[in-house]
Amino acid sequence: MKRATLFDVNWVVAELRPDSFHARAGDHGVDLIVERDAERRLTPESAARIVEALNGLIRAKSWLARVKLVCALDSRGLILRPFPRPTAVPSEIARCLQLQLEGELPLPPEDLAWGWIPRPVPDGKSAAGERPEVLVAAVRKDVVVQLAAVLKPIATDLVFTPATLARLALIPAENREFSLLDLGNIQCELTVVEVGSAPSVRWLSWGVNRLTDSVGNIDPSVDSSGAEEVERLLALMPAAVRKFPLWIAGPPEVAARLVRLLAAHWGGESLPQVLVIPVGPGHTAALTGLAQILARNRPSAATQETPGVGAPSAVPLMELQSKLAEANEGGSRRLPSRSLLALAALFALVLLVPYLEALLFQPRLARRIAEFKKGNAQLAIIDREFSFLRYLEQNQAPHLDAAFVIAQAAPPGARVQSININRQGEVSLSGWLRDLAQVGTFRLKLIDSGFFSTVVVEDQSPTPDRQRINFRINARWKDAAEREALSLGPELINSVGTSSSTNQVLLPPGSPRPSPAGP
Amino acid sequence: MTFPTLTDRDRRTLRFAAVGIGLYLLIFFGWRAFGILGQKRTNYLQLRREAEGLRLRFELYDARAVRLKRLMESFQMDPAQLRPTTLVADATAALQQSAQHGGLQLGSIRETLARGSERELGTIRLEASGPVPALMTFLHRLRGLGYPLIIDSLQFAPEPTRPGNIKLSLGLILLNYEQWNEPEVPNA
Repeated sequence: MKRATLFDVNWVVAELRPDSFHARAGDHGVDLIVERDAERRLTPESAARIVEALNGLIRAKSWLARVKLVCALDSRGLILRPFPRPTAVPSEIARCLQLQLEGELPLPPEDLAWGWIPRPVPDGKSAAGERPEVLVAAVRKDVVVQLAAVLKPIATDLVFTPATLARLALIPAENREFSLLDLGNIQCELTVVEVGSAPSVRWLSWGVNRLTDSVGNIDPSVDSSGAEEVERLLALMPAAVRKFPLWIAGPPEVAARLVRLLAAHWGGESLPQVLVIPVGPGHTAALTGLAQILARNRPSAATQETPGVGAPSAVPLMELQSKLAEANEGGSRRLPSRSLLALAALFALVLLVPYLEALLFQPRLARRIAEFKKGNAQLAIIDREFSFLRYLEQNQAPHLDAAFVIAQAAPPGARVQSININRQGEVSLSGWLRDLAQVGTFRLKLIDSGFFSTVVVEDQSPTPDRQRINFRINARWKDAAEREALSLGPELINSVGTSSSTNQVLLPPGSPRPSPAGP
Repeated sequence: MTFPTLTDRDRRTLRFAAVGIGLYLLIFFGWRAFGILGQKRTNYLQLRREAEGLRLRFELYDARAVRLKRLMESFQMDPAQLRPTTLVADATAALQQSAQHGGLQLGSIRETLARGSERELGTIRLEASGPVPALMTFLHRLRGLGYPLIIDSLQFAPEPTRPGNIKLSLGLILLNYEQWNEPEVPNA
């Protein structure tokens, strides 16, 4: 059963022959005649017809899938060489092979499109000490570059491969040595596979047109004159070909007729056989072989066996690359969509991060908030105690400061008999001075101290003997904020200008001066 | 059991159906999931705002706790340890002890219970006489006596019977921590 997978890769296989172009996509196929210029390049008209035909195939086949185009190239200018497999990590094998190519091939690797596949080991076993080999295929880079310029806009991924190796995939695996003759209109391609050497490919100037008329039908006169044509074909073939089974691929009727004709003149051990391939547009031996190779690489797809032929040989897909970085083993090409997927995943992650943060951190945050709320009772205690002590501190009246200021402001000879201070900042003092001038000086000094906001002399009256003046002064100290700016101590002494040792507050006679700082 | 081979048309139809169903499920469940996630994120942001407010509040209380500790050291008092039932008696005893240690001679001491404000536990009025340094020292030590005392009134007057001594009349207010709830604007 074949299962259709979503976003499956749409494989389109194509083969470019010297005078024709064939392509298949699923059940649809197309065959075109192509023309080349003197340098054997595709003419612009032929290139346009190829693009148009491929677009028609892709539209018929593709929906929401990537298109990969595998194009088989004819063997003109193809070099097939076996090389010992370098003993290096897989990523470095291509680089090591490139060094070997520089010494073995006439062109530098930079001018080549080349690829490699591991060579199958006979019977699946290698002799002890025998080094595994790889098969390297190379063509001129120009061939690939020119064709890539035509095909690249069509396909998201483009692979070139030798048609010869694709055809070999149709030969049953039990044939270790064989020849394959692929019939063309005016030429045919002979591939000889021998154990111990690389497949050899040669072009024979003998084509289908020698057995058909101008419109491609079998020429009835061929049977009578067939011996002559067969002799000519056999003369073009190397003699060693007759030792191996010969498979003939091409138009079924022509191939069958040729097999019959060859049977009479063959003389080899095994008679030639027809390589059966499906009939229809886009059906060639190379494309059928490519389809098998690709089907084998898809694990979900069942192996398609050619009718009438045994199990095909396991030939991996040879990819001809023009850059070293692309010449990796197994044809595993990096898909450009991976970076897009990574970018999309990163974008999605960035979008999801705020939500993930909420999912991850919310439980912990809720726990911490619950712990904080448990501490609220403690905060209430702190609030209450702090409020109480701050009230206590702010209501500590500056009695000692007031006494200090009065003592510093009292003029010489002054006698203060009583001082009354209350919590609201009202200060009342009474006593006597020598004259009225001293009363005024005393008041001025109290004001200049900056400690009191108002100073009022309520009473100043001389005694009957006129020797002294009795006074009574009421004052009110400033607010706490204004008092904070004052510097009580030596600075205040300087500001009120008292320096005499006789400057003292005389409470009762003989009393010492009060000290603001205490003992 | 054999399955029919799928044609390209079948595959295309299956792909359309799969993509359509997938999109429907994605939008249906994605919308619901997005709503749930959005609600969770809203709750989370609310919690974060609450946590930020708590953090600021606790930072404020860090500074307040330091100031409280300094005040407690300054007044030599822990308000939570005050016992209102014996507070007046204890304060009076402490005043007497402090005055006697300072060399003052104590006169009358009168205690009265709270008047007017609930924040005041009671008042103490005392009279003492002595030399000026001793009186000043006594006044200075009132702050660190360990009781919530506020000087309400203060009077210095000559002591006619003892030359060189001064008579001090002192009115003190004892605060009641038990009734303390909210701060009050200071008067001084």
